Amino acid sequence: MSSTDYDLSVLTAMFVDDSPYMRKLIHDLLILMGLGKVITAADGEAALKLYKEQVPDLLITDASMKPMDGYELVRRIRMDADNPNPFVPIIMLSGHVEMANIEKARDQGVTEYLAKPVSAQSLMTRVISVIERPRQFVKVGPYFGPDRRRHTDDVFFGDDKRGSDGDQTVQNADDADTWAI
Amino acid sequence: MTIKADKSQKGSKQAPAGKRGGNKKGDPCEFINPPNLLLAKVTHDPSLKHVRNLTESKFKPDTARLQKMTTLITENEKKCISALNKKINQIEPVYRDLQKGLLPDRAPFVAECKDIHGAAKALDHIPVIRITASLLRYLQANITDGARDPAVFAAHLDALFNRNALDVKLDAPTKLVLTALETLVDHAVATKT
Repeated sequence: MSSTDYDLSVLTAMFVDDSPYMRKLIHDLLILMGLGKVITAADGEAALKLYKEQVPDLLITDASMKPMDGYELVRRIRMDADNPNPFVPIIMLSGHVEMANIEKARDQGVTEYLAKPVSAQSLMTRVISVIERPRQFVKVGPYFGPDRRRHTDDVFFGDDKRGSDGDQTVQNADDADTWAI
Repeated sequence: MTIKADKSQKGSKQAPAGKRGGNKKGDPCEFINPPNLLLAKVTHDPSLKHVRNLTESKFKPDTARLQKMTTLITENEKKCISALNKKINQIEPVYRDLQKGLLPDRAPFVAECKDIHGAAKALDHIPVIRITASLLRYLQANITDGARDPAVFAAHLDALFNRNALDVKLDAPTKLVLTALETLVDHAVATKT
């Protein structure tokens, strides 16, 4: 292995989609990318069972499936107490690119969102991104998952040095940030 | 939204380790940085598990591999278009029977609809995805076969056969058609179950 190369053959990925065509396509794409093993499942329920047995390094899932959809699958992976790895990077691959769906995915604990139709470059970029830039996790209230704020440069976490007179206000971090996904 | 700073806390005060803005009101927030096991694994270098953010990617994509992947996507797309057209043509006899008032056999028709739905998903053909999802919802609803309305099936099949007139990016007329079909099923399910 050269210094500019990664040995992706040591990784196991899981792909969940109810379309057999998509399962075959993404399976073949990931194998072509160099991943060692790709497990596939047709819905969230089957995927959760397989996930707990095989503990893949990376999970890619569709959003709309029955009986358990991708959002519920992500929530269960992050929240289930008996889950062997709640920190697994999860990429949601979906054609539903409306903001409401993306926000829903983010709030369930998705790491990255990838819009269909998938391209070779975008799939590769997302996979490499979760390897090279893993997200910090946060537990706040009922939420557990990747930190939903990606850019924190404009948020001030230090001390306020402008004196103590008068009403001081601090910007709520949640309002100041751009959202992760 | 702004919140007022607590005036009672004067001078500098560090946030507790692992927490940001520890003095702010609201839910307590716990930050966790799991080790970067993936990077350690793919580089076979356990020391890299502490790396949080590689500023410069060490990954150089193999262009030949990317080309193969792109070819695979193109071939798959062709295969799916052909499968989608073939499967929609296969349900034409069902449509003819519906016009005579005959309902399709449920199990094989569900399988055919799932096949079309799967091919449409691979192609990201939103109108066909929504039509088949709506049809499957009606087929899988808890309604006895005798109570099913042939007109509901016929409306969905009509839309499937005229899919080329629908816009994959969902223009206003397409949205109208799809919403009408979904509402038709909502109403049928609500009144028959």
